Amino acid sequence: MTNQEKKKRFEEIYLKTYRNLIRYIVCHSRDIEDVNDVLQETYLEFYLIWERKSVKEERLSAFLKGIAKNKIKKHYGRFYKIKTYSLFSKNEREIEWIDTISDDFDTLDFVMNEELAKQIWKYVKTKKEKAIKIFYLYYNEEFTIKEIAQELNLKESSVKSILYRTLKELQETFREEKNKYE
Amino acid sequence: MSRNQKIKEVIENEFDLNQNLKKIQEKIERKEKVPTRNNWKAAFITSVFILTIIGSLFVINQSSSMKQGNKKETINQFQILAYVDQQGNSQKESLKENVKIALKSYNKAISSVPGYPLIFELEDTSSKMEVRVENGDIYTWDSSSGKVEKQGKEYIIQKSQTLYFDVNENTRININYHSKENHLIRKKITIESDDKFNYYATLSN
Repeated sequence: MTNQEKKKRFEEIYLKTYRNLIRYIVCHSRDIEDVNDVLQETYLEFYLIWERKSVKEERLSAFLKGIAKNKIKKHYGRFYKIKTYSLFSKNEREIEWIDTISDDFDTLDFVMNEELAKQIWKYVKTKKEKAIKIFYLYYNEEFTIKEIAQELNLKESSVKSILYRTLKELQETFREEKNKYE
Repeated sequence: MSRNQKIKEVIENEFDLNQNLKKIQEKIERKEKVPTRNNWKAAFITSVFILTIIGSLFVINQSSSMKQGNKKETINQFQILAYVDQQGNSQKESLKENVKIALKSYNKAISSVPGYPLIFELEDTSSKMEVRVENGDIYTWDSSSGKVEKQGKEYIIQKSQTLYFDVNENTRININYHSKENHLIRKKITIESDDKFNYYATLSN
């Protein structure tokens, strides 16, 4: 394979695997700001070794995730453990409260302006790791609560609770601000 | 239910597929230009290999020069001549290393000289040569006075001189040449005879 062919093939693999891989990195990184760096380093390493390793087509995604996992570990130090969240909520009262949340609680429908959307994303990124990941999966991947729970290895009620709190906070913070951007 | 598209666009922009691809391609190009650790290793090994070859060639060359130097020293600093028969005529011939030469026939009983003559020519008067003989004797002869002197088994030559050797079937002459720089060169001359009483001399180390 010539260098040109190799680069072309790499682009094909990149376009095919990008979405899956970025989701994996978002879900497993400690800081959302590190995602692009980890992603680039992962593909760079992949480019340098994939020919030698002769990875099968159906194994490409798993192979990339393996590289990404090592990159994340390396990025946060050797002793960083990729988190798996607890499936069980310890607070019984919280469970009862979550049940009262209606399914159509997505209250960010007032965000019609790009600048406001940027401000909101910036604000979300200051929140806790778990909240950011849930927000990302919910808005960018358009995952359902159930899918998010599966992806992050969380209980559905936890996802619902965190998302609800985040959106409520955003609503309270930015509902008044929205007029500035209109 | 479709989520807020504006927020989705903002997030997608942050993790932009094309921008990331561009940055990856730039990193690949940089990486391909910069030698990797393996390349450095290969370069190092190649350099060591080349240097070893050059070094070996240098050493071989030096050693060869030294050998040539030694040879030259032997030839230039002294030479040993013997008389050989050349189509019925007696001629002087220089002894060469590992070359067996047939000596001129000699009969002790009828010859006017006290033994087989060997001519030792020294280039430098500050050098000296120790001659020791095994299974034979050394004689000197003053041709002007006709005086013959038996020197025994050992003789030291300070200047070019002819020595006469009373030889037997297997006579060995050991030579230690000391140059003016005090380098020592050891040689030996083996004199052998065949059934027809022909004698042969061979110079060797």
